[in-house]
Amino acid sequence: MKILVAAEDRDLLACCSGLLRSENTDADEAFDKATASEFLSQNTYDMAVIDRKIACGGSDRLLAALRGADVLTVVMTENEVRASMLTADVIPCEYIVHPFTPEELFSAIAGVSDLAGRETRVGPDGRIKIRGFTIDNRASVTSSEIRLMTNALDRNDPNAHVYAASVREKLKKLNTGVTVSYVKNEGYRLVSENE
Amino acid sequence: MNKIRIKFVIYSALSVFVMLAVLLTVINVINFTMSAQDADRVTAMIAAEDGRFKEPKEDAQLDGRTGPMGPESPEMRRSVRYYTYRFSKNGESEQVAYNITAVDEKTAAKTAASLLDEKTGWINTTYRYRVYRHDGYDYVTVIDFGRELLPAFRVLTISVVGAAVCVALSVMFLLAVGKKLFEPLEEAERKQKSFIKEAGTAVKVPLTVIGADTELIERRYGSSDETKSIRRQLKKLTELEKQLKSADLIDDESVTVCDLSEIVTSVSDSKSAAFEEKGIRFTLDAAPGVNVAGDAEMLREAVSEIIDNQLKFALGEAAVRLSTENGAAILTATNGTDLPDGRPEQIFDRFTRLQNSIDKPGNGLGLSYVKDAVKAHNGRYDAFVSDKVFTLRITL
Repeated sequence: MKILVAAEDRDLLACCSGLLRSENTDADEAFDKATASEFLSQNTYDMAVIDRKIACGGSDRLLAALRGADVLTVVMTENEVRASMLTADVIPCEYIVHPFTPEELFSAIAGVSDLAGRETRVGPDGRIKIRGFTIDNRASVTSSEIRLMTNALDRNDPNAHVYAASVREKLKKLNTGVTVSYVKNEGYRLVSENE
Repeated sequence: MNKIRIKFVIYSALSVFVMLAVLLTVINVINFTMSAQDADRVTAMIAAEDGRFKEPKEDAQLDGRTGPMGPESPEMRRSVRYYTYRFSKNGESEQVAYNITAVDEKTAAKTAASLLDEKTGWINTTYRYRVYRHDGYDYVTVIDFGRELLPAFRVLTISVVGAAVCVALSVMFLLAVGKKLFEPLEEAERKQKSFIKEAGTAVKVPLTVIGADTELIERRYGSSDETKSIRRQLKKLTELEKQLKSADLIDDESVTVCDLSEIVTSVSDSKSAAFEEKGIRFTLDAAPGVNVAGDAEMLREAVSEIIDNQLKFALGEAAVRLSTENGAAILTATNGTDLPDGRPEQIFDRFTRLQNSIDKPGNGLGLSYVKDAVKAHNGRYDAFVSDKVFTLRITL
C-alpha cells in the first residue's frame, strides 16, 4: 500500500511515516498543502493520512480533491468528533483524534481499507447499499458510520453516539424511513422510524 | 462572571438595607418611646390632680405648677384633649373630666370601662391611657396625643422612603461601579478558561508524537524500563488532557433537547463489562423519555465521570437511577463505600481526592467536571455518605 502522510508538525509527520514504514508500508511525507498536491499529481496513492489544517484549510480544499479522486483519506484532528464534522459537505473516510496511539492509527487505516475493499464499493458508481437504501460514499459517510450501520461498531466506542447522531441526520435527508436508535445491551441499531 | 457581579450587587444592596433598617428602626423606636414617655408625663400629671386639670387661682404666681407645662397651666388645661372617668367598687362610673371633641361622651365612657383591667398603653394608635387608684375609686384617663405624635410619624415615613431611595441609589451605583470593578476579574477568568482550553488542545499533538516515537523506539531497540515509564506518564498525561475541559460555557449552538435516558443507558451499558470484571454488582433504573435542554456532549461526559467514579470506588454494589420530579431530571448514583458518614462536598473541588482514593488512578478532576457541567446547566449537585453508602445526586 502506498500512503501519503501530510502534517505541518514535522515531528508528527516523521513519527507517523516512521510507524507506517515499520509496518512495511510505503509512505511519502508532505509538510504543507502545496507539497501534498505536488505528490498527488506525480504519484498514485492508495490512501492519504492528512492533518485537518492541511486537508480542510483554505478555499482550494485538498480533501475535496482527494475524495473526488477516490483516494481513501484519514484526517488527523485535534477536535473531538462531533456530528457537525461528519455531516459537512465533504468528509474523509475516517477521522482520527489526537492524541491517538499507534494502534489506533493502524486500526483506522485498516478499517478504511477493509471497507473500501469489501463493503463500500457496490456497483460501478461506488454507492453503498445497506438494508435496501443507498448511500453515496464518494464523500458522504465515514467507515465508522458504515460499521455502525452494519452492526460492526464496537458497542463501547466512545464516539458511538456521535456516529449515531450523524447517521440519523443523513438517513433523514435521504428519506429512507430508517433511523438509528439505542438498544440496551446491543448498542446503536438501525430501526424503522415507525418503531 | 455576571452571576458573581449580580450576587455582589444583591448582597451589597442587602447589607445597605439591613444597616439602614437597623439604624432607622432604633431611631424610630427611641422616638416613639420618648413620645410615649411624654404622654405618660401628661397622664401622670392628670392622675396627680385626681383626674383633671384644676382651674388656676386668680392670684397664682408663675411657677412650676402654673408655668407652660405645669398642672395648673391654663395652656395645658386647654390644649390637652382628654377625658377621665372613675369607677366605684360596685361598677358605677362617673365622669370626672371631659375635654375632647373627637370622642363623644358615650364612647368615652365605654372605652374607659373597657380599660379598667389595664395599666397604661395606647389605644387607636394615638390615644394614651392610664389607669390608677385613688380614694377607693379606679380612675381611667385617656388623652389624645395625635398632634404630638405627628412629628414622630413624619420621621417614620421619611425614614422608610429615605431608606428605599438609599437602597435604590446604592443598587444603581453598584451596578455602574460593579462593571468596572469586575472587569479585571472577568478578564482574568476569561483568560484562565481560554488558557485551559488552549492548553488542552496544544498538548494533544505532542502526546501523539511522544506515544508514536516511544513505539518506534521499542520496535527498533526493544522495550525498556525507560520506555515503560514513558508510557505510564503518557497515560497519566492523556487522562489529564481529557479532563482539562472548561465546562462553564455552553455554546448557544450546542444547546439542544438531549435524551438523558439514552445518554445514561448507553454510558452505563458501555461500562457494564468493566463493573463485572471488578466484581461490582451494577444496577440501572432509568426512566424512559427524560429530556433535558443542554449540551449533549457535556452531559454525556458528566454521566461518564459519575459512573467512572463508581467503577473506581464502589465497594460491592453500585446503582444509577434516573427519574423525574416536578419537571426536573434527577440522576442518583449510589455505591458502597468505607468513607465516614457526612457530606464530602470537597470531592467536587479540582484536584481534591479523598482518603479512599490514595491508591487509585486519577487526578481529582472528574467530579469537578461534573460540578461545572451541572452548574452550566443551572442544575444542582449534592453528595453525602450515610450508613456506608455514598450517594451523588444531580438535578437538572
